[in-house]
Amino acid sequence: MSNVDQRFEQYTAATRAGAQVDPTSLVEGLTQDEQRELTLRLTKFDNLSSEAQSLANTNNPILDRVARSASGLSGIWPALLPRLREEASLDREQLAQRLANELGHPESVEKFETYYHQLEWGSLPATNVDPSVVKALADILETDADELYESGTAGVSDWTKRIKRSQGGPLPKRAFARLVGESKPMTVNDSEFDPPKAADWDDTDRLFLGG
Amino acid sequence: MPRRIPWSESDLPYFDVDTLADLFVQARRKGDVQGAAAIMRTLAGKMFSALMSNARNKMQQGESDPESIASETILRAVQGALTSAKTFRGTTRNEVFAYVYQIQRNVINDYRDKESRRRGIAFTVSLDNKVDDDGAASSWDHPDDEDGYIETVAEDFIDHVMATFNPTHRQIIHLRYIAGYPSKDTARLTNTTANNVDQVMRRFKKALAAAWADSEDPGGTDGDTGHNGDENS
Repeated sequence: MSNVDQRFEQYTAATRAGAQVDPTSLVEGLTQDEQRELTLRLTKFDNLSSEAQSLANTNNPILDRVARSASGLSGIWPALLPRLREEASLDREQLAQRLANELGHPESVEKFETYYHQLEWGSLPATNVDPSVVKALADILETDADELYESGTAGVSDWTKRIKRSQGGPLPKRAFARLVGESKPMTVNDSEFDPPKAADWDDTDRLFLGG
Repeated sequence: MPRRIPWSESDLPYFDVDTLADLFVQARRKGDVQGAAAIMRTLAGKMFSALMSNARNKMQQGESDPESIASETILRAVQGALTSAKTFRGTTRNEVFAYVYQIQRNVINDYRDKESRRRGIAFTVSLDNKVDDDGAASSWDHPDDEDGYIETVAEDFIDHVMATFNPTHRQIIHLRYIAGYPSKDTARLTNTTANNVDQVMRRFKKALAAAWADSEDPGGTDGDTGHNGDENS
């Protein structure tokens, strides 16, 4: 390994570990060409490092939603639904109210809000959601129902199988809760979500859990 | 028996997008929920700024917000990546990035359709197609704008030389030469051997030295770096 490689590795490892290294001390004893190469690499690495720090530190709701989409059980709904809802100028409560009315269960609005929250959070398999819910959501959010369904189910069955296989058992109740950057800008306390057993389902439960 | 890749969440932002895409597919194959989410968050962050800048170049003044276009592109790309995981076989990077630029063109066209319907006018600016002959999306770190690309080259000597290498070798160069990972870790991340990493690095340094010599003496050499970017290792 060259002198430059060695010193560069030293610098990058220390920086990634959060240590401060004076770059001027690294060029001592190097030839002019080696100094030029090392300086160039350090500059390039410093740019990468500041990009890395900004990526790691930024609390960006869009990126957090995309991350939930990548790990959740409802396709890209965790990223798509909040955006469509915001475009429609509805908060979760208002959306749940309209959804409950559309589906003929105005008395269950709280339950609708809880379930809708789980859809945005990616914790309910979209494949189990009744088509009438997707259709009503599409109407409220002014989007195409087929496209909405597809965006919630893309790759989900396969992903579910892999998670089950890797964990050798049923799906964890809230695998999503371990996600990085989870800032929970939510109005519903996620820890309270505990879906009933199938024997205890009412019509609303069936709409979201057993479609 | 595939080797486990020794990366941690704090390493992710230092990886290039190709490596992140590979890791994302691996995490999904294993059913690694936490890993897939962390990787996708970083990958989307890296794609986001590139997509924003590309959207800015493509849009005319007064057209839709580049941030919305970047978000929509990422959403559609993630959906494509989730779907393609079903049929994923072997080399996957292009499946994750498949048609991202094309997705962005579609997104921009959709926004324009909406705008023109809204305003009752038609936009006439065309969008160039950067999809390679084999149908795969262009490597992510190739800017979708030739003028912008030339500027980047002029600004960054290392990028200029890296651009003459094939995508796999650029991935190795990024991890080893720019991010500073040891040969062994670079080899694991790129699914190759440490010897191959060292070999690519020797060729890269030779090409860099030749380019330096050229830049200092523009009329005195023939510009032959002795490097063939298509060479496979």
